Amino acid sequence: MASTTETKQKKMLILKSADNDEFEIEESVGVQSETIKNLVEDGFTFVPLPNVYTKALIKIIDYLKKHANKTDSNDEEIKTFDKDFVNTTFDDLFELVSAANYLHISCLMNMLCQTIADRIKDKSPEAVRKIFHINCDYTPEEEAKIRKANAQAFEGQFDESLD
Amino acid sequence: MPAKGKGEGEKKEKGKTQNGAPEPTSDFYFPREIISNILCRLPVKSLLRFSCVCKQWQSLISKRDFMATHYAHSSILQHMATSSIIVQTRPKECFKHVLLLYKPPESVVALDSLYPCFFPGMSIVGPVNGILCVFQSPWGDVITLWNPAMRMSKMVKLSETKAPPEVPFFVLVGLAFDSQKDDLLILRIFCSPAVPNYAEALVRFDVGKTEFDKMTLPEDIATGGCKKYLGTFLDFLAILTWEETDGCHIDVWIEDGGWSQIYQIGPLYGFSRILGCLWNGDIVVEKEDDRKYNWIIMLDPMTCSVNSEVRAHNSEKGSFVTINCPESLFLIEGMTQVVNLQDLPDESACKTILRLAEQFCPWYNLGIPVSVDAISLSGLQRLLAAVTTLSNSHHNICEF
Repeated sequence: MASTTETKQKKMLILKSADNDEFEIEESVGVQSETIKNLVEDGFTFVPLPNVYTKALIKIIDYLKKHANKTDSNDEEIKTFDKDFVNTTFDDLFELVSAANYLHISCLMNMLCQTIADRIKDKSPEAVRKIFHINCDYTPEEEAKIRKANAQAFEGQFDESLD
Repeated sequence: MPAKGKGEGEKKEKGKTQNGAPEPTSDFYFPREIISNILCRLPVKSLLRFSCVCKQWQSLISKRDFMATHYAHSSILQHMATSSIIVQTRPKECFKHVLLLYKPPESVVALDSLYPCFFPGMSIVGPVNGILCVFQSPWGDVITLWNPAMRMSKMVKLSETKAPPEVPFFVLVGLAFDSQKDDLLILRIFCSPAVPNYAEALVRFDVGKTEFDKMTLPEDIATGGCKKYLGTFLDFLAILTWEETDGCHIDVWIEDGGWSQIYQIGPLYGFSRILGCLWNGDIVVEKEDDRKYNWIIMLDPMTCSVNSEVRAHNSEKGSFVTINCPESLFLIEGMTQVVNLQDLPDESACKTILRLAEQFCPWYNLGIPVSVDAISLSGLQRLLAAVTTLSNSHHNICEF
């Protein structure tokens, strides 16, 4: 746990976020990230993460700690934790997915990408553009052409909400 | 790099300051690999709709490697509880070829007919890369490749494929993928009539070598008078056998270097026949209830419990086929949109479709090693296989 500081026998690592906050974690927790694991194997105990901001890093450390203590008996507890973990705004999910991608934590990447996919599945293209902060680069004529070619995919009602 | 001393890494609690976090502006940047990782998990319908989000997404979705990743994801879904199943039935009254899409727990949806006119005795095989092959029994005519998720199809003309001089008994059609040639294959296997007092044999057609080989059957199956279903069960070649009595059991045999029986399921009541095995391990059976209604039932082979069931049309005997078909973005050049039958006058549409079938277009090379063997369980005297690859229109005949 984060509050225990008297764990002399355990190897510790320091992670430094893009906004210069430092976090001390157990090596066994950190190496679930391929990026951190590679650095640890090269002998580093201080890991600067120039692409990961504090806000995302706090959440990701929580995730790694939870998943490092995975046993047969706490399966349900982890499932509940994961469900709460992804229950956040799209912008938070995007920040987390960028961080998880940089850190190469594949199980977290899978969970985040699946969550985002499930949440955009029934949305309209307009809603998706807003959610992903994408400016449409089609001319109205080009867009009309693509819509026409895929007319069957536009049958029915779509979700216009942005959450 | 010198390791930093312990104790310097004090965790600093921060308020919700804005420093650092990427601003949600129009130049919000996502690496392409992340976008691809998200989009490859979506159903085909969502992807087609999202191709108008921006040019980058459209170009990603139309890339071959994205299609392959997407197909891999949608295949994994089929191995889990969320199977989507294509059901073929030929109702007794009209002999029409009806194709249904069933995604438990949703209700069954009838799919648009591939033809603007009526062809009797149609059947279906596949899928390879999400593409199915519809053809007419017993001679393997009107061969049509079809991607149900994209609602696109194309009638294929098999060049120079003629029946052998002696009149064939019937023709088996198989769809396969040759991973060496990286090409889709359509197989037509011409079968001569069975000789009297034949012994049952299992014959396998090796797609890579374009050769037949004979496989031995377990003695219990070869000598017993039981009914058999041949298919793949959990990626193994499998034979499922049952007796035609009420309260019978289904025996599941798999081939893994030799035959072994792995399950016995039952007793089953009111059960008529086995329709197929699903990728998630379920066995699909047909059952008739007290009111003479047909049901298609998905059974869990371990517990014998019913995972889902659907009431089926009053179908012609033996016409049911159930197959897993993962959604796929793959198309074959020259495929056209499957049009709702009501939208078209019969005759002109039929002509258009037949004219399109005259063109023989190459298959897009896919690079996905899927090998499917064409297998026939029968006591046949002679087998001839006509193999047509789509890209070179080359054509082999090999004999067993």
